Amino acid sequence: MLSIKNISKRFGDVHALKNVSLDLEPGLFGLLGPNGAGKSTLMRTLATLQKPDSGTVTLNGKDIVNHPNEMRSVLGYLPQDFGVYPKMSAKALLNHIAILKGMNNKSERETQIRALLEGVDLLTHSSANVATYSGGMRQRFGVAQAMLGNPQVLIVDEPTAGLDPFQRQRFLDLLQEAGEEKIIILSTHIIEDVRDMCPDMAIMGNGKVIARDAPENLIESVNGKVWRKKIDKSEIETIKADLPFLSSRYLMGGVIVSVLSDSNPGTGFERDDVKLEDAYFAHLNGLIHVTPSIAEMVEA
Amino acid sequence: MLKSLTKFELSYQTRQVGFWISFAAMFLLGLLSMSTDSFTAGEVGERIKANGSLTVASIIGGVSLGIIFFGTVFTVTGAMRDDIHKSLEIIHATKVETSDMIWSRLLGIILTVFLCVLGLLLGAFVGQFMPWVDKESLGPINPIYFLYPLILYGLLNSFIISTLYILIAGMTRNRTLVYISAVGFFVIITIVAALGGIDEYRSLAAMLDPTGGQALDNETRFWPPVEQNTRLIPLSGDVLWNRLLWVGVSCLGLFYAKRKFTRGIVNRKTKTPTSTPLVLGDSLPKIPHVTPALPNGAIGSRLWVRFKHEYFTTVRSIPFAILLLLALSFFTLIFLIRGQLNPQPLLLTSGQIMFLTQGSFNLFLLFMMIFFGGDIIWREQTSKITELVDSTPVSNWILLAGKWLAVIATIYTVLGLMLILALGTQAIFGVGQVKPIAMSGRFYLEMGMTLTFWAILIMFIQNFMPNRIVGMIVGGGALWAVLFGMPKLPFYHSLMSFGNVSPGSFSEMNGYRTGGIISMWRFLIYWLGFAGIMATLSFWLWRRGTEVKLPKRLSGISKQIRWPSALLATVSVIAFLGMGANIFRVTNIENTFYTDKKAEKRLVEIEKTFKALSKTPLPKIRSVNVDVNIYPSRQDARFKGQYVIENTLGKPLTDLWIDMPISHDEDIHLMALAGAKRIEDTELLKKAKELELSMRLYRFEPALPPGGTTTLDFDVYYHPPKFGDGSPINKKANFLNHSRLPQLGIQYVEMRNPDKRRKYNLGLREKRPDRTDKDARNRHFISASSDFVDFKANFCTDAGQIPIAPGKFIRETMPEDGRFCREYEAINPILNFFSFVSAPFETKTDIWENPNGDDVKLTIYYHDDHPFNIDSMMTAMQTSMDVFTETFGPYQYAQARIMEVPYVGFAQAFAGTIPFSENLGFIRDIEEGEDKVDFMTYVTAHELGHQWFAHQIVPADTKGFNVLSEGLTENATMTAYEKIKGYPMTRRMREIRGRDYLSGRASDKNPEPPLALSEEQQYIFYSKASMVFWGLRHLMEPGEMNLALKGFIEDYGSKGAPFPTTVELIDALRDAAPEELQQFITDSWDEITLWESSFGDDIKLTSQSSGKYTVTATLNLAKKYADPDTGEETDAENLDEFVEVGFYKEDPSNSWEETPILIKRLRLTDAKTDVSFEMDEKPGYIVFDPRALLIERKYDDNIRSINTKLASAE
Repeated sequence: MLSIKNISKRFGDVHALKNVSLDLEPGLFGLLGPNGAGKSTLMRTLATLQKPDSGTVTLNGKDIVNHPNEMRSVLGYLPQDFGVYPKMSAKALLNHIAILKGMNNKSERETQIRALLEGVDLLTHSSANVATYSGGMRQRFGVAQAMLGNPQVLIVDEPTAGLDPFQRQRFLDLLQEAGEEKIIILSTHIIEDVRDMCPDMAIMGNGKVIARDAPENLIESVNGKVWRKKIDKSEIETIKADLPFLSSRYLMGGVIVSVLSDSNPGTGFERDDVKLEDAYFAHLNGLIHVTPSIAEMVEA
Repeated sequence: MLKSLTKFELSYQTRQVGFWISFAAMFLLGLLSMSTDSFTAGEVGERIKANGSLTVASIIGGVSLGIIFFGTVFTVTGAMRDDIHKSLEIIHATKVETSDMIWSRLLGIILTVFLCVLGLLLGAFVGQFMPWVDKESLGPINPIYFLYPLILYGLLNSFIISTLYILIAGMTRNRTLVYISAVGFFVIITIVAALGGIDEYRSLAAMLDPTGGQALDNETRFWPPVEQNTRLIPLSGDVLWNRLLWVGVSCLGLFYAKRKFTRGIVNRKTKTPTSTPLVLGDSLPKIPHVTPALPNGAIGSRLWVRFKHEYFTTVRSIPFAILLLLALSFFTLIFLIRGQLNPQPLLLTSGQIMFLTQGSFNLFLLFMMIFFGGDIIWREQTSKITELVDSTPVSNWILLAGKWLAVIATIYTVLGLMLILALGTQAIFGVGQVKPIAMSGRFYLEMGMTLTFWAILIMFIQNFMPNRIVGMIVGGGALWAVLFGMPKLPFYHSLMSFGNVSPGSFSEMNGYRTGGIISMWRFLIYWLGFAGIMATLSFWLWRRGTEVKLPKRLSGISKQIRWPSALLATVSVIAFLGMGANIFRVTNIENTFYTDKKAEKRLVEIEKTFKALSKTPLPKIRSVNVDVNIYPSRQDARFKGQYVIENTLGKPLTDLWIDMPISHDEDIHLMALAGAKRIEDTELLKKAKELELSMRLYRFEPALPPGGTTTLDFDVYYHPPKFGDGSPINKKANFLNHSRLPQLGIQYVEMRNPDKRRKYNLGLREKRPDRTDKDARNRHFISASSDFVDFKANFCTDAGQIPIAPGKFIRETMPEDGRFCREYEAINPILNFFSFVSAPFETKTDIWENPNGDDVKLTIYYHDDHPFNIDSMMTAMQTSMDVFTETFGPYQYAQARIMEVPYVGFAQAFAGTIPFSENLGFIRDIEEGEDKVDFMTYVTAHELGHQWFAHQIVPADTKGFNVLSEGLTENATMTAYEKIKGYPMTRRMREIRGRDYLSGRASDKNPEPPLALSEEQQYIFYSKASMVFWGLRHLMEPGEMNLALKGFIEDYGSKGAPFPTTVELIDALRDAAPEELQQFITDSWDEITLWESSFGDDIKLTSQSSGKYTVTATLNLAKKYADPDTGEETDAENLDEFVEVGFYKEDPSNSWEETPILIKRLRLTDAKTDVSFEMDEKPGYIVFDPRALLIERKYDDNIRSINTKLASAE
């Protein structure tokens, strides 16, 4: 079990993590939040690339802040943005990282590298320099290196950014496949990724965990309370000011607004099917206060 | 728009850290150059002012070359920052005019570079007002001296250098190549400077040098102080052409470069593999399971993979290839032109090849360390792969060790290549034994370890740096400080010579000194300790992860400390401090350690205390009988013997000071002056002890009457330092002299530097006594306590070596096992001046038939691996003996021998016995050719010449004494050299002497006396004397001048007191010279005279019907007298000069025929004289003063080709 207790982190004036606590069991865990919410800081802290100012992180009871190797030896990490050594082929770089990860047996290492390259569909380009890869290819390479050495903990920071729909699907399949007995933390702002894959998730905003539950529970919490209406662009400020506003999007010349309400908030609003997105905005915009049960779960 | 964009560029550039580091460094260098004597350019002082026109120009032209390195950084910032920060697409899509955008960038770079030069200038200007500045070293403050070179050199060089980098940036789009090109630039300047050292390539070098330094030197190198202080750099000649050429080239380059900076994204030729379409529905491959090793496991393979990666990335990189290629081409170039670089190159023996290889690679190894040391530490950050690597379970120490080992392996790779190169070169082109072991020792141990320590320092510094470029600048600065800055600190100690494990001087005869090897191992441990400390600190400060700001890492140190690193730190600290203490004990406690400052102050104190006493007249040693035992195997020696001393003072002698050869009292087993007892506990003796002078005072009771004799018996053990490079006793070759024996009187050395004397209130330096001083005429230049002595020596050494002292060889004995002795006795009294040489020599013997008496045995004792020039040297000996005997009179000894000696760079003439440096003659490459010189022959002739001039003519201890020994010997040498080598090679030697004189007088801190009164200035008593004798010898009838010198020897040679001075010499010359040459003698000896001769523009050649040719020309002649203090020149009132005009077929610059078409002597009395000459052959060149009889600053215009259209007289 990966247990995060009351960690905080400041960068100068920016309070990137405020007293964050989470307990994670094996399985896919989704981390949703807008830019600047603290997701990447949390991920880097878990990947032992940064240390929290306060609080503890333990993996199966072992302190990984002061003993980072406890984490690193079981970790697969795909950072949000990464570079590679110039003039090094995918195969060579994977081999390099595999040895650093401690995969000492040459034939085991080679078999696994081959399987991974196949898995991310880079086998045909495995001798080309990674530095010359296109964005998508490089991202797939990142996935492969993260999965080297059968990590127990897999931390992937916005892994599907830059992938086309096919590649995205392939990646998610890989994750699913791997996710049985691993702790997998998937940070993203693509809400559908979480919805499709993660039995458990948290929403982060402003350095805090705002909500944490299974996606369907989060959806359930707003079920029947989401109302939408097509309005004129000029009305939007009034609605934002007067109603529990969730989100808006342009649609063919008009604007569709969503609000959260137990009852019909006004003429023209229609109750609609609820999506995870609505729950996300409901929590992010502070329209749902964390219920005691969730709070308890977080504390536990 | 351009204006505001340029303003933006400048403000952007000046916001960078790199700019401020560069600016501050330049400012500081300027300040130090102007205000401190350690950093001044050239011989700055009271005579040559620090803020004089030429000194300021040299600072701006020379020190400003730091912009070669800084300029690359600004160029990358200015021209390539969009590429680096990936903002190209944003910036280039704005609506700014393309040309404005590019021009502003380029202007920004040039102006930023110029700002740094301005920093230098500001520093130099402000330096004038620093409180510590020596006021006498400053002339009146004149802003023009600063502003003029700022424009001519500062601004133009900023423009030229920036343009080059801009061009490279534009053409390659690769910032690493821009950085590396700085090295290339530096190499070009170094090569050009080397080329400029060869006279015939000076003008070419001046044009090739983009920075104009060579041109400046060409135009100003013979300027006397007054001109250096007040004359602006001439905007003519080489300087003008150089500036025009390079500004022109740069303008073209800039326009070309501007076209290379197109807008938008540059198409790069990189292959992006195209993604294959995915086939959905494929089943996912099963990822096999593996069990990784624990974080602390698999250390070997983790370290190996890191090391391999770092190492191969480095040695396969383009910068490595470029630097290596540059080094190789530099080596090849130096190898090819070394014949020209040195008038007479050394043979390629193993030692010389070693120096050649080391010399050509050193600089590049330094650059490699600075560049790769920085690059490797930041590699993960540069490639942005940090997060991938740092989240793997690999220990910090493995990452660190991988990098350190890779850099060290890179160094050793280069050293390995050097070794192969050196051995190969010697095998193919060299001579002598190939010595792979000795060479590996030098390359791998000495160079390798020192470079390793430096590389570690550079990588260590990167721990504290915000980025690699700043780190490289600071690292380069640190190396500069270690190599050049720190040694100038007043408290400098060898313990501060970072990473230096050099065992010191190397000799092919002896290898390193044993003490040097001992100190090498200790320093190695000492610096290893320091490296260990840096290693642990680097480990604790390792940048791991994404949060790596220095304060964060510093505050996290305590958490990094675990027992292995703590243990390493402890062991390292113990090694460093322990070995440091050990070395300190040897250098500072067992021996006295003097910093430069402390040594200076001691000298001052000694001078103040003992100067008056040192002038006390001394009794004279009449005979010396010594038993010398040296033990090369255990490196010590024993000197036992007796002096017979006579009171020649004409009055009773009571007190006699004796200077001990050894400071340890317990090693002086006997020091007994008959009839005198040792006085102790006087104030002066206490003072002497404080000053670490080992002097004793003896008092005769009763006083020694005038004419009375006494004896000094002594027995002294000599234990030379066992640590360091100082011992004259070595396992193989040994060279000691009379300073190991007790000396009568107080010995002290006067401080020479006039500026230091002023600083310590020592008053002006006391010159040698006047030539009329009676006391001074009663003692000679070698010693005040002896004239000539009877000499007997029994000299023993280890068996296998030959012991050699002055005197005739009497017998050899083997008194006990393992010892070998020779007895020597001088057949005539000799100077109290001996050498003791012992080594396992080979010998070459010959007999010289003495027309005046017994045959003389000539012997050369030489190192068995140096047989190359022995035959030529013997010929030189034979011919010199013939020439000198015939010209100057009989030889006075039973033998003449030359012994090869290690480490020193000179040859020295003892009575019939000449220690001769191995490098000076034995391994010179004797090439034949009329433009060559042969130092082997020259020096051999010179030292034999001293047997007449120094050992027969012994000058009195007065002004001008050196002219009688060295000056007259120069004349003798030239006479013999001409006999052996012919006129053209001797004429070439005259040319070299002329250059030495002119550049010597341009950089002298002391006033320049006329020749007759010369003091310690070698450029006068060697070079000027050589020229003056040469001139007079050729102006007088052949043989007449040397005949006068023969008479001079007959009158004054081997006569004892009073000893001769230049007064008697000049009288002898005047007596022999005709009336019309008397003024020439006055001009040569009593004045500082410089002639200026040249041709008028119009030189006409006509052919006569008789088949003869006529040349008409105008001769311009001036004669100037220079002021001894300032060098200021004033025209002589009257002209009545003998000059020569010569006609040659070919350009004679490289080969001066003795008898060309015509050499005509003329007597000129006017500044302009129209002349015409008639000759039988058609001349190609006309030369004013072809035999160089006059001393002249500008000789170039004396040679003119006669290429005017041939006019027919009909």
